[in-house]
Order: sequence, then structure tokens, then C-alpha cells
Amino acid sequence: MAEKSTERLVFDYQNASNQSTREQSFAKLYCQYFEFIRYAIKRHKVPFTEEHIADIAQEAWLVVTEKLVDFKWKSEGHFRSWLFSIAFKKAQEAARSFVKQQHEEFIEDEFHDSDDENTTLKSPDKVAEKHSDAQDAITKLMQLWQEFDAVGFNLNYLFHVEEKKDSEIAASIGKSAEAIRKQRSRSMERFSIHLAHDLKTHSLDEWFEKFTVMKKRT
Amino acid sequence: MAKKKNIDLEKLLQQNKESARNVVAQEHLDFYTLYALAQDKLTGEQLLQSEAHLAACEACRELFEELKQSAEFIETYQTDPIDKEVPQEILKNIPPVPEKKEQVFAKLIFSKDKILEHIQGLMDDVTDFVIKSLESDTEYLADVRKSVTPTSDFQIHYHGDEYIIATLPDQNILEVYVKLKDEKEQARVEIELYNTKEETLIEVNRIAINEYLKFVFSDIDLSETTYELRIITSPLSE
Repeated sequence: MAEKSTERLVFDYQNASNQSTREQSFAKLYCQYFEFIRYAIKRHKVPFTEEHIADIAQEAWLVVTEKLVDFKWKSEGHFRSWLFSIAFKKAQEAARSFVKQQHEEFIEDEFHDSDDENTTLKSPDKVAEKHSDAQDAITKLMQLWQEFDAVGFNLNYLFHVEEKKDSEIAASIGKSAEAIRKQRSRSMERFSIHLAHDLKTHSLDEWFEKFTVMKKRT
Repeated sequence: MAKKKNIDLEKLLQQNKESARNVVAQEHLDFYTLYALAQDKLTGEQLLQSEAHLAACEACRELFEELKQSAEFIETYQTDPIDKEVPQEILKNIPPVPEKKEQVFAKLIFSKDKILEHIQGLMDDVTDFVIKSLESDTEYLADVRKSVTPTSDFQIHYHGDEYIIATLPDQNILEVYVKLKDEKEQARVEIELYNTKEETLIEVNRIAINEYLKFVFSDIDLSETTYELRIITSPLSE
């Protein structure tokens, strides 16, 4: 009997009427894409050991078992890209936790090696505390703007934070630079009015006060 | 009285770039968006949102670059199955199949000109699943239909059950005739027509005509829209 196509195996996994059909379909997909998943992990810039690759691949397959039920089949290439992105994301996570672990070990070493007078400054807990309430308030204000007008916020973000020119933004989304400039300004204006009228907030100090009250309530 | 000043949002962004980046990077792009972006298929607001996110989120940017760089490899990858047992930890993680699940045994994709564009998910015994185009003088249809468009009528046989899928000449109506081997089992069949563009189900009229069960879907537009016809059966009785 001819080998089942990948599309068919995915379909069977999603629509199986019993567990053994689902498991058999998965086992075939596993054998077909075992090397592919390993390839995706190896594409990450961190040179993982063979042992690490096997662990990351296992993590990726665990995600596949869960998400495959709702995967929307479009084409073979689309399916492979989906597998690739799951494996690559797992490699990213592994790399991040590796870096974090090294960073923590470094801080820990510093903490133990330093003199008493410096220990309070270098304690990891104290470093975390540096993230102040004022910063939270600013972040919240930006989130409000994003909720109020996502497009306008993103345009302003690209312009003021990423320092992209209106003409660059315009070229990528197919509008004129003038239209982008106007939309940016309009968004700022509308959100300012919203803050002033609806939230009775005219300055950052007023906002910090409001934010502190809100935070205490929650 | 002097007019109260408003918050300078421009300055807010310029002086708090890291906070702004955190806001934009908060929710990662999902695979479907990244894939569409890598294929240059995103436009308008979605594209803008994705570009802003990619500018702020290193993880998504890295994945996006990888998807683009590996596109050719991914597209042309030839699977070479190896003999490998699935580890128990992974097998245990496979979600259980819900009991007495209705079974979509076929999905047929319809669009203009080529009515049966794509068939997804046939059952195991493919040899018993026959699809053929009907001729206009097909005898048994004479009773139930006056006119037949030969190129757009299909007959499917499955386990002795018969399905006829037909469009009326003006193509605004899709009809599906079902004749099951065991008439008592008629109740276990459901046919759904799904508008893939609007992601909605089309209303259906279910009528019994002689030994056929007829499902009629009206006001469909095959010239502009693609539809997915789902043939759903309850589990076959043992």
C-alpha cells in the first residue's frame, strides 16, 4: 500500500475516531520529520551539543502533539514552515535560558566575591527593584494609547523610537509619506484629547498620581 | 485663564524608548502572521503592526529572518523517513480523541471553473472511494433534477454510500444528494458548506426526495468565493 501523504497524516491525526489511529499518524509524521526538526534546531546560532539538540527536539515534538490538532493545513511547505518555527522557537528558548543561567551564575559569583559595602547594590533582588513605579506608569500609558489607536501608536513608534522616516514607513505599507505624517499627528492629537477629556489627565505628574491610585485599588 | 497643556506624547516616546519597545514587543507574532510576512503576503495594518513588532522583538525578528533564509530548503525538503520509535513522554502528550466524535470524512474545496479543486482527507480504503464526473444524461438524476451541468457534477462512492455534488447552471446554488446503503442511517449524515473567505457556514435546507437526502445551499457565489464542503458522519455503527 502506498505511503500516506503528510496532508493525509495530519488529517488523520486531527480527525481520528480512535486514539490508536491518532498515534499511528503521529508516529509516521515523527519518523518523516525527525531529521527536519533537528535541522531547524541546528540553524540556531548557538552551537548546541547533541544532547541538547535531542532535548530541544523532544520539547518541540511535545508542542507539535498539542498544536497539531488545530493546525490549518494549506500546503506541504506551509506545514514544514510551521514545524520549523516550533523547533526554532524552542532552540531560542533554550539559548535564552542558557544565557540567563550564565548571567545568574555571574551575578552570584560577583555577589560572593565582593566586599560587604557593595553587597546590597549587587544583590539580584535589588537589581530587580530598579524597575520603578514611574516606569510602570509610562508603560501603562503607552499601552492605553496602543489600545486606543493601534495603527497610530505603531506609526509613532516606528517614527519616534525606531527613527524610521515617514517615506520609509509609507513605502512598506503602500501609502504616501504625507498620509503617514498626518495619521501620526492625528493619533497623537486624538489620544491627547482623550487623556485630557476622558481621563482628566494633562501632565505626566497627573498621570503618575492616577496610576498610583489605580495600582493601589487593584 | 491659560489653557492647560497636554502630555507631550512625542517626547514620551523619544525619552522612553525601552518602555515603548516593551509595549510593542509584548505579544509575539503568531506563526500564521510570520509565515504570511515571510511570503510578502501581509498588507496594511497587519503589515504595520508586524513591522513595529519585529523592530522591537529580537526573538520574532530572528525567527522571521530564519524562515526567509531557509524558505527554499523548507519548500524543497524531501522527507526521508527513518525508523524511529516515538519516546513515551511524547506519546503520552498526544491529546485523547474525544469519544463518539463526529467524523469529517471528506472536505471538498470548491471554486469557479474547477468545482472539485481539492479533496482533503480520504479514509483508509481509498480504493473504495470513487469520484467521477457525471454525464448530462445520467439516468438516476433525471428523477431528481431536470438539468445537469456535466462538468460540475460529481459522484462519490464510499462504503456503498453515494454522494452527488452538483451546481445549478447559474451557479448560485449547490446541491448535494446523499443515498446511504442503509436508509435507516440517513440521520447520521450532515453536510456543511463553509465560506472560507468570510469564515461562515452557509444555511442549508435538508429535504428527503425518494431514496435521496438532498442538501441545498442557496445564494452562493462561486465566481468570487471559495467554499469548503464538509461531509460529516457520526461513527459508523459496528
